[in-house]
Amino acid sequence: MSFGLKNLMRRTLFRMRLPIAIFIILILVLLGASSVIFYTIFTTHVHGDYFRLETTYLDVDFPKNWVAYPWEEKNSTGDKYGVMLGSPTLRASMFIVVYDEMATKTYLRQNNLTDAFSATVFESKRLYNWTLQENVNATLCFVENGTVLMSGYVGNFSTLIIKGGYVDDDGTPYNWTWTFMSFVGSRVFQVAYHGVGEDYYQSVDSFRFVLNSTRIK
Amino acid sequence: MRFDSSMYSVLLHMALGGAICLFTMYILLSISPLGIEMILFNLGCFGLVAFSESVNALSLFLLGTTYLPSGFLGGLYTGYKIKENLRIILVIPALIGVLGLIALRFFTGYINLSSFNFQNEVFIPFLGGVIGVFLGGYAMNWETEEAESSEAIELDPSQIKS
Repeated sequence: MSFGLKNLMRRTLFRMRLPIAIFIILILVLLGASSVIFYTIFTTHVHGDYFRLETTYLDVDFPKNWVAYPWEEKNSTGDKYGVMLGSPTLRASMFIVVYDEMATKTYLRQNNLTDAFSATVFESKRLYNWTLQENVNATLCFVENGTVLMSGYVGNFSTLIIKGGYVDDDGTPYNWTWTFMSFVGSRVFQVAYHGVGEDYYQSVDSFRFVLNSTRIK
Repeated sequence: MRFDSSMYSVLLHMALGGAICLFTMYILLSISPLGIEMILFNLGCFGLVAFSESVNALSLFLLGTTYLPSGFLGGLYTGYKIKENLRIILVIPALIGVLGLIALRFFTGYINLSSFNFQNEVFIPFLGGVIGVFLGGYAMNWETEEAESSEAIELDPSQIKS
């Protein structure tokens, strides 16, 4: 071994063997860099008490402590863009989906839909049929139907409760409340939010805020 | 025969070092992401993980809290048991650890080939594993090397006198 390397291998830093000191410094530097990046993301996207998520097709503000998961589905029948949002502590979440023009045509043709109301009813029935696989005794109750403003577009909405529609891991059934909204034009824009039992009512104001802040591009 | 047994011993300790590296990576990899999520949740900004830039921050966090310490532990064991040719030998536990982790994650379904991320699944674990193993291995041999070098210096004056 050369004298230079031998000399190096006798060195200490902060009274520690050099490799241990380098190991600790590296960890601190990496954690520091990670924190700086998180802080930069925070300052870039924070808008008051909310974060603003900007995607290709929509911008949305959501509470800072919520989970948000943007996704894209691209194929030959058109593109769909969506965001899933929800509180990590409640059994409630929200979905926003935007179809491009080709995906809109495919969606309407495949499901024999003509307008926003038929799309809302179709999605409600599809959900109910799905819950029947979990609990055959689940019953569907429509609570409210009407029109709603969605990012400047007038859409249709239905609020429904599926009694016994949500079955937890213990096999206990809960009422599951859903609100579906659809706008059908040259593009389809759909919003759905749901909650299990009381979780729906605890989240509904936040859902409405998110809906009002959403901007379709 | 003696050569064979020492060779066998070296191979065994390299494999054990790699196994320590792999085991620690696997354990820490299930704890560290939960740790950062808990920190962000308690700071009231859990939504930060929604932004694509957070992937880099999470990669650096995992490099510092999972891959580097795992490699370091594997290197400590290997360096404690093996004292020669560290520069070459220490690569093996790192490779065993990283390749084992990739294989383990692939067969348990964590790695999806359709959305395979080379940086996060290969480069960062490899970088952390190799650096960690070398730091651990040399940390274990630091004093030994110092003692050897001091002995060598004592011999020099006698050689000059004669």
